[in-house]
Formats: sequence, structure tokens, C-alpha cells
Amino acid sequence: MLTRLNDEKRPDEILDAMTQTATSRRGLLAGGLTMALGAAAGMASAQNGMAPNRSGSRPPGSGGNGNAFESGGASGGASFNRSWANSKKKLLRKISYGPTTTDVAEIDNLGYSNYLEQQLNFSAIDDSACEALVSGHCRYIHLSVAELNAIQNPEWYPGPDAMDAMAIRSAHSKRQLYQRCVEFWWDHFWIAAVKDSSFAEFQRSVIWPNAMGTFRDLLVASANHGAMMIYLDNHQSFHTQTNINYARELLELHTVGVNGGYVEADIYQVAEIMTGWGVHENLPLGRYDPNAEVFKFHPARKSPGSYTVMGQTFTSTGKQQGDDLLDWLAAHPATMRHITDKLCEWFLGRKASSAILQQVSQVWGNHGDLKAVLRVILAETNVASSLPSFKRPFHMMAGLMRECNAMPITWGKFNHLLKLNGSDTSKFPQPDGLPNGFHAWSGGMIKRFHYLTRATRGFSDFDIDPVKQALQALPNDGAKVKYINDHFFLGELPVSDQVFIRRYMKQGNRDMQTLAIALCSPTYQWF
Amino acid sequence: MSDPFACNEYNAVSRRKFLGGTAAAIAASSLPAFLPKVAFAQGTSTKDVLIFIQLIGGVDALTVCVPHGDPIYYSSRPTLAIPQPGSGSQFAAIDLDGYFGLPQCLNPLKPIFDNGHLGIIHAAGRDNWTRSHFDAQFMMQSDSINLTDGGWIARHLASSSQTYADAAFRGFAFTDTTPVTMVKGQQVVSTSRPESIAFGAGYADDAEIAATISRMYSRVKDESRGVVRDSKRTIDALSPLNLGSYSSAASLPYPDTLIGNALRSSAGMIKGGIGVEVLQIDWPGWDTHAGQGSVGGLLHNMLRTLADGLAAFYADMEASGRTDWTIVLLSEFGRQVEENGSQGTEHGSGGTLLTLGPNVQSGIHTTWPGLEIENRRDGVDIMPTTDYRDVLGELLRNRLHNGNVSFVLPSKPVENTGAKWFKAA
Repeated sequence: MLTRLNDEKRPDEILDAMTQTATSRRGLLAGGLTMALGAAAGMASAQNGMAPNRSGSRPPGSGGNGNAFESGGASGGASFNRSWANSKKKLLRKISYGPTTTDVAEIDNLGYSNYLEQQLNFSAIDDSACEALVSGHCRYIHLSVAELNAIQNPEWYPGPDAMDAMAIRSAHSKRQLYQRCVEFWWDHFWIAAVKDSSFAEFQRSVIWPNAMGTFRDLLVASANHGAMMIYLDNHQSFHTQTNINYARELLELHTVGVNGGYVEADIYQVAEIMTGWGVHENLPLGRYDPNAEVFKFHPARKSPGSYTVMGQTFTSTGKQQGDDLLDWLAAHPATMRHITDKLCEWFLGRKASSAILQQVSQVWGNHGDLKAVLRVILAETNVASSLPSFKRPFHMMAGLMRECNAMPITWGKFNHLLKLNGSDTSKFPQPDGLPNGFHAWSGGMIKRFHYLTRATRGFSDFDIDPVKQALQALPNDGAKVKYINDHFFLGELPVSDQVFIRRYMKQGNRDMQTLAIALCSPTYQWF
Repeated sequence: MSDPFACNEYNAVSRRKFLGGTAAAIAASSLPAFLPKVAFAQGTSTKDVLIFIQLIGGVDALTVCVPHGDPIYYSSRPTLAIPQPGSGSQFAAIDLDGYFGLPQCLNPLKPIFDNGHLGIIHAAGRDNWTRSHFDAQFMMQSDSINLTDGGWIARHLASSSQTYADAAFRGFAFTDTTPVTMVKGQQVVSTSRPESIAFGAGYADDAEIAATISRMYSRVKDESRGVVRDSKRTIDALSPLNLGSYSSAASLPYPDTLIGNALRSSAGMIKGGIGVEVLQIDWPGWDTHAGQGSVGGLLHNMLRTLADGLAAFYADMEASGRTDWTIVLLSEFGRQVEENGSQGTEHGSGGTLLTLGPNVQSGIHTTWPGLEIENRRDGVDIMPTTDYRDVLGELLRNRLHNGNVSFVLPSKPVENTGAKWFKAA
């Protein structure tokens, strides 16, 4: 709050005042300084011509360097800095939802590199227990379209089922890194406003099988899916009547990025190349019909001739021309940079360093080998200097379920609660997906507190009783705080917050309220 | 710095290393040192409450304000053109001045236009333009080169005196995510449903739990501290207003729509006298690439919903005798002149801007560029002849009593346009 309102004041002073996060002038030194450092990072960002905060997950005040904690920036002051120094626990936070005491024991046993390799080699991890949970809860999610068609009126709620399956796996799969990748690509190849069945089919046939494969396969699968064609209007793009919506986002969002080096004319060339890529016509319109919005290439709608995109001429014909374009885009250095930057923001809370980009350029190849890319990004030195990211509603909810080792109880409730937490896909109809960063979600803080507090009462669609019983069995406040710290904070709940919690506990035995306060504490909101 | 692999963070660090010295020196160097000294406005008269409505996705200007006198409009839009007035169609345009008209879906705004309280600023845009939604939205919302300078509404609030010294909040957005316009704002709050915002979960000691949580956030140094503090104060300020049961003072009820409910709550807050100065409503979904439906379809229905909400708010304010408010509706850009093969329209950098309220200069304000190909931008877009930042600048000066226009809108030298679009202070 400004104190000298009617004085003469220079804009830099006003800006300085704005960078304070405190109401009192006492906050100036710590808060203002950190934010000003953040401003310096942002200025550099602008010099690079980026549109900031589109996907930036840098927490406010972190200033973009590893020393941010030391100036009291990211989340919890000095004690927070000390407690988040452990790179193994940092890795667990970054590659999993709500890491548990079991995870800590496992990484301590295996060591950083072996644990990471195990997570990278996800298909070797036996996940049958989790898949049994998924098929018990979402009975038809594993079935193919043909199998679904063979069943009379399947009890099939494809959209909520797909989201529930993602939530159950995020909470219970041992393939945690893989699930974090699933969420990343769900976001990157965002689709909205399509039929429920085609949304689900897109997730389970495009995203899930390819989430840790190659970028090329993801890109090609997304372009060969009716949901994407419909969402970005390419099904209505014909020779002499192009619709450039998909072409623009293919370049800007999916591949080379807005600074990838293309100009407006390139978008029109891409649109010509992609004409004819669309969907079967006269398909059922039912929301849940497995056959809705199925991809089809229409040769008669394809624009004839060669087209040139960013200096590269594509001379093949028919659908092959689009296939060639997608292959070329997947191998493009700008695509490598764009995807690596986004992955670094996702996993490290910061954009890629030049060292990371150089190493990734060695392993990207023609297809973008995602395991090799992740191996570079998640190397211990990178994770050690990573910055905390703000938990989006999905992350927070799935993580809490995982920490409580709890199952969702009712159909579709997870999605309902996700919406109440502000993560409503219908409110994000635009193809850049859900936003990242505290700025983007800060309006939902009260709803988040409401959700977390209600979770401790058992009202958030999963069973909290085991936690309740565990807390009740403990003999004293100290043991209870230790339990909460170990199970929800990896033993790194800042001492200053423990003091507030202990003070609250002195006024009577209120285990679950105590847990609610801990879950609403600043540290819990970051990972 | 010329390393092609150098990322933003890397450059930031390099820059800091280069600058060296103390952190204070770095902080100072990060500020735009070229900005001149400016004085605060000294005005004492009551300023307007601003309701800033963002129609996200790019609204088709040629449907909002129809150039029915231009034959090129009809040849460019074989399926999407609004029929001419007097054509007998149920969707015929409502003539305003012999050349422009409103579509039937905006009929609820016609009485407001006739009352002299609706401004249509046609062919609006900006000179440094883009057809990317995301960049265009960022330009519109931040009007700065980077987000660390905050959004323009945040800068406006920081550089103007507040209406009430003890206001719980000054800026309010009907969103679950903080809009870019208000990033870095002091005393700004966002939540999509203020009528149902609550802290507690039903424990007997909810208040004590909330107080403990608030105390924890009062100890952190990041922005969550201010957000939690302001959220709690907001709940304390809003709960006595009982927004959930607020109803219009006029006979025209608020429609139960996103825009209707947000405007209803806005009216409740304005009349509740809690000192809110800027309210923002975001409405996504105007990106009509296919099946645009200007004539009786999707866009028709959306505009009708918008007009019904605005008309209800206008009636409520009129019946309540309130004259201290202004509504501005802006979209990040418009659509291209020609319809595409999907009966939709592509992104176009020229659009339209609406102003509504007792303090706007009513009428159609435009230097109309014409729709001929040679008069379009790149041969496809409506050529913007009014920079919407000039309009916002006049809004700041005349209605929000903030003379620090170049601080709030730093991306261009904003012209002093007098009282072209808004009545003088």
C-alpha cells in the first residue's frame, strides 16, 4: 500500500512500491529486493522477445536464480531454503505427485541416478495394482473403440473417466515420472470443446502411449486425431477455402514456438499443406459415442502443389505432404528449444539453461527422444538448482490423494472438485492449455483452502479416516506434528510454521484441524 | 549474450553478473530509468468505478457494428453478413446513422445508444500488432514488455489515490486466476463467484483456523502473503453485502448468465459502498473460426447474452441513481474482413471497442478505413484507425482521475485526446 499518495512520485518509485509484497514498510527490504531481482530477469526475458508468463512457472519473487531463497523469496523464508536443499527430495517433488515416506526410503536406498533411471524406464515398473484400481473405477477406459462398440450401451462416461484415470494413476501409479509427463502433454496438446468420447480417445490413444516416447510420435498422433482436427477447425480447411487455426497453433504452440522464426505467410503455407486432414463425415453425434469425431484424410480437399514453410519446400503430394511437414517440424531445432524450455519449466521451475539446450540438442535426434531429453533435464545438478513451482489444482488434489493413499469414492466427483478449484477445462477453451505459476492461480487461494480443509473432514471424495486414526493413535502434539511433517512435507515443514501449528494445538486436541492448517500452509502449495 | 542457446534465465543471470555490485544497484538498474518524473493528479471529484469486460478470443467487429452501407461488406461475407435494415429479414441490422447499424442481438443496447450512453469505437487496434491470441492478449492486459512491471490495471491502482482509505480491495476480477491486467496489483482480488466465497469448511473453530492460516502467510515474503491477506479481508467485506440475494432496483432482472451474474455482483459491490474501483469480467470463447453464426447462430446468441446483461446493469444503475460508473468492453483483436471456408472468420488485428455508461461520449467514433482490399491491413484485416491505448489513456485521465498515463500505458506515447470518448472530469 502506498503511503504518500498525493506527493510527487516518480514511476520508478511507484514500481518499487508495487514490488513490495508487504503492507508495512518493514517488508520493503526482503520482499522488494527479491521482486526487483525478478524484474531484472523479466527484462532479459523481454529482450528475447518472449511473451512472458504464458507458460512461465517461475514462482514470484524467485528472481530466476538459485539464490532466491537466500533473499527470502519463494515460499517460506530462510528455514525453507535450508529444508529444500536435499536434491533427492527435490527430485521426488518434481517428478511425482505428493511424494511419500516410501518414496524417500526408495530413493535413499537406490541413490539419485538409479532411482531416476528406474522412473525413466517406466514400463519395467510393475503397475498392475494401480491398473486394477483404474479398471475397477473406470470400467471401460481400457477398451478399444471396437470393443466398446461390441457392448450394448456401455456405462461409459468417457470424459470424466479419462480424467479420473489420470487422477487415480497420478495418486497411485508407481510410474510417477511418466504420469507427470502425461499431465505435461495433456496440456501441450490441449483440446477442449470436443465430444467426451473423442476427448477420452485422444488422451488414451495419443497422449498416454506416447508420453515418454518420442516427440515426433506425439505430434503425428495428435495431428492424426479427429479431436484435434475439430478443436482447431482443420476439418473445415479445404483447397481454396483454408482455415488457418490449426496451422497457426501447430507452429506457435505445438512445435517451433512463437519465436521459432516463422512469419505470417508460413502459416498460410502450412494451412495449404494440411488441407484435407479432417474427420469422417456422417458419424454419430452422440457425446459418448465411441465413433464420434474419427480422423479421416479427404484427398479431394487437399490443395495441389508444393509449399514452402520457413524456407523448406515440400514437394510431395496428398497426405504425405503433411506427414513430411510434421516430421520436419519434429526435427527442427526451434522445436527442440521450445519443447525443452517448456519441459524445464515443468520439471525445474525455470527455462532451459544454455548448457541444457546444448546437451538436449545432442540427444534430440530427428524424433525427439523424450527419455533422453528427460535424463538431461533431471540430472542431479539441474534439479539441485531447480526452483519451486506452484501446485496447480490437479497437482494439489492428486498429490493429497497420494499422500493419504486414498481412492476417489464417487463417479466424476474429482472433476467436479477440480472445477471448483478453478481448473475448469471449459474456462480454458484456448489451445495453450492451463496456465502455470502462482500469478495464474492466486485468485483460487480461498477455494484451495476450502478444499483442503474439507478434505480433512472427509468431504473431498476420498477416505481420510486412515490418516485420522494414525493421528489419533499418536501420544502427543510433538508426535502428531512429526507425522504430518513426514507424510505431507517429506520432513521439511518449516520450523516457523510448526510453531504456529503447535500453538494452535495447545488449545485442545484437534488433530484434523491441525492437519488442515498444515495443508493450507505456504510450503504445501509448492513443489 | 549472443549465445543462440541462451535462455531468459541465463541472460538474466549474466546480466546480473555483468552489473555486479550490490543487489540494490541491480534493483535500480532493472527499472525503466528513462521515464520522466510525473505528478499525481490532484483531482478531488468522485471518480468512476470501471467495469472492464474482456471478450477473449477476438470479437468480430463487423457483426458488433455492421457497416450495412458498404457493399464490400456483403460481398466479403456471403453467409455471415447481417442483412441490411429494411431488408425484411428478422435479422436485419438496426440502423444507427445511415451507414452503420447494430445487429438484432444487440437490440437491448439501442435504448442506451439513444439515451446517449453507448460509445462504439470502430476500427480500433494497435500499431504494434499480432494475430497471435496469446501475444495480443498479453499486450492488451499488461501493456508492458514484461509481466514483472505488472498489468495496466495494477499500475493504475498503484499510481492513483484510492477512493476509500480503508477499502478491503480496490480491484476485483471475476476469475479464478489472477488476470494479467492485475498482476502485481496491491489490494486486488479475483474469484469467479464472490457471492459464495468462504474461508471455512464447517469446523466449529473455523475462525481460529482461518486466523492461524492467515498468520502463517503474514510471515512469508512472496506474493501469497498479500493475496491471502486481501482474500480474507474480501470475505469480511463481502459477507455483509449478501451478494447472493442482491436483486436489481429496476424491473428488468439480471439474467442468470456468466455476464449477468458478474454484473449483478458488480452492482451489489458498487452500491455496497466498499470502495472497489475496478471490476474486471473475462468472457472467453469469441474465437469464431468456424460456424460463427452472426446471423441467428453462435455469435448472435453470445452477443444477445452480453446485451441482456449490460441492459440489466444499466437499468439497475439508472434506477439506483448511480452515475459514477463506466463500462469498457475490449477484445484482444477482431476478425478478418472476408469470411473463411468454414463460415467463420480468421484473426484480424482491427476490432471494435464499446464504452457504456452515463459518462461516455455516445455515438459511433471512427475514422472508417473502408473495407476495400487496399485499405485493409495486409489486405485482410480492418485497418485500425484508433489505437485503443489512446482510448484507455483518456479513460484514465477523464474518468479514473489518473494523470500518470505514460506510467500505466508505457508501450506508446498516448495522445492527449481531450474528451473525445469520455466526458471530461
